[in-house]
Amino acid sequence: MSTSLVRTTAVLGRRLAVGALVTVAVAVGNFFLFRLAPGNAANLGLVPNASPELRRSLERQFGLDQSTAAQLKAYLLQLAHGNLGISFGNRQPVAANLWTALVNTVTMVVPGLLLALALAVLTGVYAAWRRGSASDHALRAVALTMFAIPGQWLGMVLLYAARGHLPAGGISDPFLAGAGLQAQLVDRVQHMVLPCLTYALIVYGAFMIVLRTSLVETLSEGYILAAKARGLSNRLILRRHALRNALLPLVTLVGLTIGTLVAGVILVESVFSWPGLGESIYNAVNARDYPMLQGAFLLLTVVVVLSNLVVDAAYSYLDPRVRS
Amino acid sequence: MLKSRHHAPRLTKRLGVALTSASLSVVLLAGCGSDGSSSNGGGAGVLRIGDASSKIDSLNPFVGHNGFATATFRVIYPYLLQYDQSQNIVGDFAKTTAVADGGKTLTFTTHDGAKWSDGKPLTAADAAWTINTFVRLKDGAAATFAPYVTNIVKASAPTPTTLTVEYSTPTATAQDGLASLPILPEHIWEPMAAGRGEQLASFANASPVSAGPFKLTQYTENQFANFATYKGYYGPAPKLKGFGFQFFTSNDAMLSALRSHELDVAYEVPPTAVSQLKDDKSLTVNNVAGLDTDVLGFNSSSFQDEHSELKDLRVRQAIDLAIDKKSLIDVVADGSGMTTGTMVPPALKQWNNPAVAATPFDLASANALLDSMGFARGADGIRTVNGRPMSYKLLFPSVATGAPRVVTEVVKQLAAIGIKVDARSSDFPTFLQAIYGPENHYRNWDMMITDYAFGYDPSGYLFSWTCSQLGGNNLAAYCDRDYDELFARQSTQTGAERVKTVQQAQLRFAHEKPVIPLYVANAISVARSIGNLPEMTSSPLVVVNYMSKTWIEQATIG
Repeated sequence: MSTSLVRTTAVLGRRLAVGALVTVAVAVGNFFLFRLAPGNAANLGLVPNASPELRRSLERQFGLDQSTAAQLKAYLLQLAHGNLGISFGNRQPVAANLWTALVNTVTMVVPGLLLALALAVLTGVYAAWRRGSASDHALRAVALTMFAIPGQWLGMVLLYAARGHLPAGGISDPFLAGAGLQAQLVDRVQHMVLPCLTYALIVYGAFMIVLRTSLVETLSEGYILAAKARGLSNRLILRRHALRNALLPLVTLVGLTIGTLVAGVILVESVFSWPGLGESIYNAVNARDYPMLQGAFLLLTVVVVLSNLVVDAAYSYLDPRVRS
Repeated sequence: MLKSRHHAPRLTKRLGVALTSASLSVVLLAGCGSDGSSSNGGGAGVLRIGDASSKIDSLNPFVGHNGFATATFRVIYPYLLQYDQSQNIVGDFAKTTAVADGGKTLTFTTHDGAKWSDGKPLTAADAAWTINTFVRLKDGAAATFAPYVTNIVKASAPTPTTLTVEYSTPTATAQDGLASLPILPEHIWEPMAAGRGEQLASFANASPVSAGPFKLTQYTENQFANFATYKGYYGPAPKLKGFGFQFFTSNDAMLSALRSHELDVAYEVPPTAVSQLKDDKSLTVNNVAGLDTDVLGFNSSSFQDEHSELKDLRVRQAIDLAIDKKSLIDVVADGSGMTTGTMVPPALKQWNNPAVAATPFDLASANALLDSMGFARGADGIRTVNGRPMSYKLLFPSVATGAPRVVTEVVKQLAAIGIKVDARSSDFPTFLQAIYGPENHYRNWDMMITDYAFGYDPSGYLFSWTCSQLGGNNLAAYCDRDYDELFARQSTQTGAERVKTVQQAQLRFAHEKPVIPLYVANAISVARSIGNLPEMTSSPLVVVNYMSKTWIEQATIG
């Protein structure tokens, strides 16, 4: 095993250990955080106009009649067994609820992110290459506009613009059941277009601006001039020498974007009735569904920790200086 | 320096392949993640209903309690009784009803030969088991149904088509209660109801064994529910092939889906959308009197002693006079609402007391009344009471109908009589916590605005303001012995006698003014002109009528 690989593995191992500690700390913090909000699922949020009998029954069922210490102990014990608990809302396992929501969110975010990256790379490279030109100014203006406009508003504009051509909301047409696999696949893709496009456009602006700026800086480095002097083709110089170095800030930004995923998608989910993580968290907050909130925020913490690890690993791959 | 190129570099083949693969993967992943299954829904004869305000909270009757969950139970399960389109209680699984023993015994003859969707016989024994289980577990797993089994001693089924329900005392709400209890298949639920019924709540009931006019064929939580006709239904066969609920999180998406023919009916449409929808000739806007009432309440708690003038009826009368309810309806609900002076909404027909009308707007009289009490205006225009400004803290939940505009309007209108209001919004749980305060003392606030709606029986509307509901539905901390006595009296009466007492209770409440009704919001739905939906123009519950099967039995499409 090479020295640099050993070093990289050790660094990632340390980061992983710190990440695990952070996750445990957040798990405990979440327990107290959500209980600070007024009310609980039994007496306030879950059942409006609940009778006293129902409230007492729900408190018993949810364990809310026990002391905080006893609740914390039970929570940590079940967490240690990999059990996120049972949702106060639908009384189903939190893990199953979160899995469904996470799959739905990933369905929208991954294509949206890939589309945004593809657009950012294409237009960022083009703008950097032709820096100072009219097309550079125009592309930057578009990116800045996308960066600045509220995502919800953009979603609504796209919704109106595509009315009659693309589905207005949901993840699929509920009334298409019984249709063939191909029709269902086409339906799903059609439902994905608007939310994915909205999400892509929301994150595209920042990606493009960061990449262009980074690339402009890189293109003015001495080694680019040297490569040109050696007679390398523009395409090769761009791909092998310029773009790879310029990608570092973009990788960081993508990592941060994934880490703060829920904040970004909740508005898109809201406009297009997309039943993802953001909506689940919103409903759980309103119902004071502690197990769902604890599970969702634990999941988000793990996503942030892991995305940071992936960014670190990507840095090691992209930048030899990090490995050494 | 590098020369610029006219073309940006193309995506590499690898990137293209990666993008395509990733996109396909997530689509397929989403397909795997969905818990939906194939159904016989879809196609002609299927009524598609959308909503952006609510969802089915659970398919388990021991857990689900909201309108869509109850509407689902109503169409898939038998109920002994139900409400017809004139809000009269009529039979459902019960063909006849006989009252004996001074109202303490109800005997029903049920349909013969009925079957559950799994082929097992549906008999009066299922109804008896269900009622007895609800009674036995009313302080625990079946607490949701506790209000509907009040005073029931036991139910028995001497024959497969005879059911007897015995009460400890004559109960006015007996039939309304039985009209609210789904009959569950004993052979499915009995094993979970053993002991204290701890397993009842965790049962997902994903594929309900049912016997109503429709069976659930497909359900994805928070997204949609599809229903198809059940051929073994004991009642009249529905005209529809099926129907479905699709749940949205934004009204814009729902209305867009309606206009692009993805939906047939949009339910719970905001009044502000009505004017733009009226221009669309392919749509029918149904704007009918609803049940949802916005109220301004005063803190009547003995612990509220900072502004004791609010306990003076004349101050509350002045505030009532100063609020222009018609203007509120125009500004907040675009005219889609009605005024009332009582907490029982006019849509409840016989129960509403028409003599209790909304107080007419009269700013001069309001000012004169406060002037006569010696509450002079200060330099800032705010009146003072014993040197203290008439400045009040008003709480309201952000989800209240018409909020926050209704609050803004009230604050503005009260400023015209020299009353300053500091309005504070919060989510509903936080609002309730602030209203009750520690130990349910109702401290640290003066006024509140909220909304409520119950079913067709007036008991919920009256019960909410009784002393027994302090710390519960009673958000104004109002506690009046005379009012409680009227409530108790009507709960054992029937017929015209009960109507009279219910109307007296409304008079008493309106006279005391612990709460001022601001307006009753209309129930608005919009349908594509595609068939006959009789409930849409007649019922305050519009299309999703959780009190009746008739709306969906009679609906036609195409």
